[in-house]
Amino acid sequence: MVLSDTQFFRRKGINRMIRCRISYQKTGPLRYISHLDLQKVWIRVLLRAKIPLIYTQGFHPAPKIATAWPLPLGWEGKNELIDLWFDWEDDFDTEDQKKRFIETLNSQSPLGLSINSAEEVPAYSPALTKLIESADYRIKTAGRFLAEDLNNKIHHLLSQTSVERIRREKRYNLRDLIESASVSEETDEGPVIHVRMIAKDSAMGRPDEFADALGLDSEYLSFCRDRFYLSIPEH
Amino acid sequence: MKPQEIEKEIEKFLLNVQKPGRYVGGEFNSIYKDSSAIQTRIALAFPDIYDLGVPNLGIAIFYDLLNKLPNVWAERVYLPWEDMEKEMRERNIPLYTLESKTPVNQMDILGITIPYESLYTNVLNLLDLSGLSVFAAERSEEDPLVIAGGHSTYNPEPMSAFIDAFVIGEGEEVFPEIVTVYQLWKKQALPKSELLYWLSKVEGVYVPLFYQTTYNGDGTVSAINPVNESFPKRIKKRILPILPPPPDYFVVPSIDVVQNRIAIEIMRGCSRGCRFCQAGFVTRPVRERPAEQILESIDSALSSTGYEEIALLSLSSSDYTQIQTLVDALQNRYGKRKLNISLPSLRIDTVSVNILEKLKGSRFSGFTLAPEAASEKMKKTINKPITEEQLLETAEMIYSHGWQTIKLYFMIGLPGETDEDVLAICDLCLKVIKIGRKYLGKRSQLNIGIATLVPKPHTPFQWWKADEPENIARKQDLLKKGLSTPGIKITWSDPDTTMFEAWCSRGDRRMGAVIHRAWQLGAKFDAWQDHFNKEAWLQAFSENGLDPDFYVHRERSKNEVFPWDHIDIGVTKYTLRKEFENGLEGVLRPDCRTGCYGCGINQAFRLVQPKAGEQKWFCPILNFSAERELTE
Repeated sequence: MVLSDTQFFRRKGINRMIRCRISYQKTGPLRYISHLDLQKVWIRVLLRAKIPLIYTQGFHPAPKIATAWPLPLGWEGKNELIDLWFDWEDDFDTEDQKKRFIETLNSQSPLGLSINSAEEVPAYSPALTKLIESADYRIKTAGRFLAEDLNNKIHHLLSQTSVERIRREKRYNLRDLIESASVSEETDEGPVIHVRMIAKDSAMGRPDEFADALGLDSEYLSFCRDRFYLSIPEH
Repeated sequence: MKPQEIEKEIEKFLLNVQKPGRYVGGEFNSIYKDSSAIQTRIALAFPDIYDLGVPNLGIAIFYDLLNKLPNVWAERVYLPWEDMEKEMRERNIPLYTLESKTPVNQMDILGITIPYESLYTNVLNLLDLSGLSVFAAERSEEDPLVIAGGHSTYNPEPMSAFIDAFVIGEGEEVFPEIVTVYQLWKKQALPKSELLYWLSKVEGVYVPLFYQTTYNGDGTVSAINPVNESFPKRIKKRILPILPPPPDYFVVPSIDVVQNRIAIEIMRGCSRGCRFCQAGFVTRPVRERPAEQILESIDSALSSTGYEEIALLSLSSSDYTQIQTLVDALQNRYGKRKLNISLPSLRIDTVSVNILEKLKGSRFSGFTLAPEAASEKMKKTINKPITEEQLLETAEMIYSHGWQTIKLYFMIGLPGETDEDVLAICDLCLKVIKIGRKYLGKRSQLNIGIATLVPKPHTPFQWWKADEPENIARKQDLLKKGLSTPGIKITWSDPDTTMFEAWCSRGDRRMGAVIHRAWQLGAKFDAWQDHFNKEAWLQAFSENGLDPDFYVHRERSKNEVFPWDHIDIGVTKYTLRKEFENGLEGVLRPDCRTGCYGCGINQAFRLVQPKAGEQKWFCPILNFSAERELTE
């Protein structure tokens, strides 16, 4: 007989399974930690914080966590998302409880990882990567380009219906993955490009591809993911 | 360069190097202090890459210990891998500390751990990348004090031109003392020579500047003497009467390194007396850490790191008197947790299998046993008498419990070894795999590691020679042929790198010029098999008029003065010589816990021993009459 997760956890004596969605920042030295290593960093944070994690079944049980789209090496993330499953004796809905939970996690995090917020989400709602529809990125240009030039380039690119690109030997239409783009002038860092990329067919549009299509030299660019947009799941 | 400038510069190319996470710091439990409130800045350096350096226990101990001093900030330094080094050199970025990104040459003290000899050229590279002259004599008054310790420095002579002061022995007390001396010196604005003079007065500190070597006509050392009577003739290693508690905090790297685990020493020293084993002689006397303290440390280290793997270190775990208590307690406490506990260096017997069975985590893979020799004669020579029945019985228990893999370590190139002794290894291994097949058929696996003896300083075999590379290769061939059967896999050490290890560990002061030249010719990361540059080393030898064979392939006469004779490990040269002769005659020396044979350790440290109190050393306490008897 195959047990459902609920049945399995009940048999293991787990009463209240909480699925918690955490928004966090990945900055500073942690930018240079790969997606795979970051998952281990997360598990160690949770173990140090003594969060009663729920483990996956199987021969090599591992804590049940699920990440959103990987952030490429070197990029900053301001509102990254991760889902965790744990067994919480207490309630997890008052602001005070959440605040304490966030404080505990922050006290156990390495430099560059900091938790913004934590929300309980329905335990059996779809995976993060299924829910994410788009994401906002900022591209800093270190003052190497003029705002007007950038505006023109963006306008030209967005006016096309198809921007063919090849990535990892696969041909795709980049235009389909760009929702909007604009330029803002920041005080000391020169113009900054804002672009909203779309997630589609289990892939997320990449702002570095967008910058490359604009003809910008990547050496001067730095990328930051500001936030994800999630669809409301159907129940 | 200022820290902020370094940080900004490296950002420009970090994404072009492998594993940039090695170079940015910020790991959990790494320590950041306000530098304006700090009196003494220390860089603790491991002269190889981050991945190997982070798990190093020596650095972890001093990082924890020194940062507890309020006016001291100890930071970490590792060597960049080649891609990073290239970028740094091209852009004139000096080697910097991971925490504050401060150039190493702006530190007060640079402490380098040198656990093994194959790191020597890396030490030079580390100094050079820091913008320091590699030669101690050429460094300026403003440059940091460069100190070194670790097992390889029990023969400090090959590196004596590059290091200001060596710590001989255990550093837990000496290092803070050096810091205190440094602070007193700095307040008085005196020349550096004064600092070195003061340091030479600290017990366990060796300042090579104050010693000179003279040589005989045949190139052997005639004497190593202090330049005047104000310095001790011999430098006695430092030891602690009682092992201090393990570190409270371990830095948790955010990237994958070679060993993602907590390492806790359960015992220091070994009473077995295997004649090839340097660690066994230089780390005496035996001191155990109480089981209660170990358990507490494990508990706190687990919660402060989030690791799920623990290694309990010692030279001979089975000899730890509370081993059963410890193992039972571990099983009670962590049996239900997904925790992997490793306990290396267990004796070869069925009790050990029971112990490991209790500890095995979900990722437990196989058993490692080190008989080292197979023939009766060689077992007696090395003083490691494990009977064949004992080994086969252990193997039977392992395979019959369903574990598929056994790893066996052996050593060749031993004194008096014949081809028959080598072939005995084949016979023994074939018997083991036969047992495996009986229980598991083709699934049974036997991995064999064949090392070659490097006759190390301060061991009975220091009078012996390293086997010639042709001989080693031939013996390895005998083993490969004799063991080419399904289920058996052999790994062996490369004869050339064995020779390299031998000449570095046995060298005298003149070796410094060879190491320097080899480094200039491009030798670095010698410990990495594909990096060892034999040609550079041979050229360095010949340019300096030295013969590598003189250092490694020469059997020493009884009275030869060794380049490390001025380093006093407590065990007497007389004892080592007696043990060498016992080895040649096939005389066994039982574990000294069953009866003291006066190796010299309790005499050398008779003033330290009473401080051990309840924590006995397993050594008899000497009165003065016994002392006279033991004097050479």
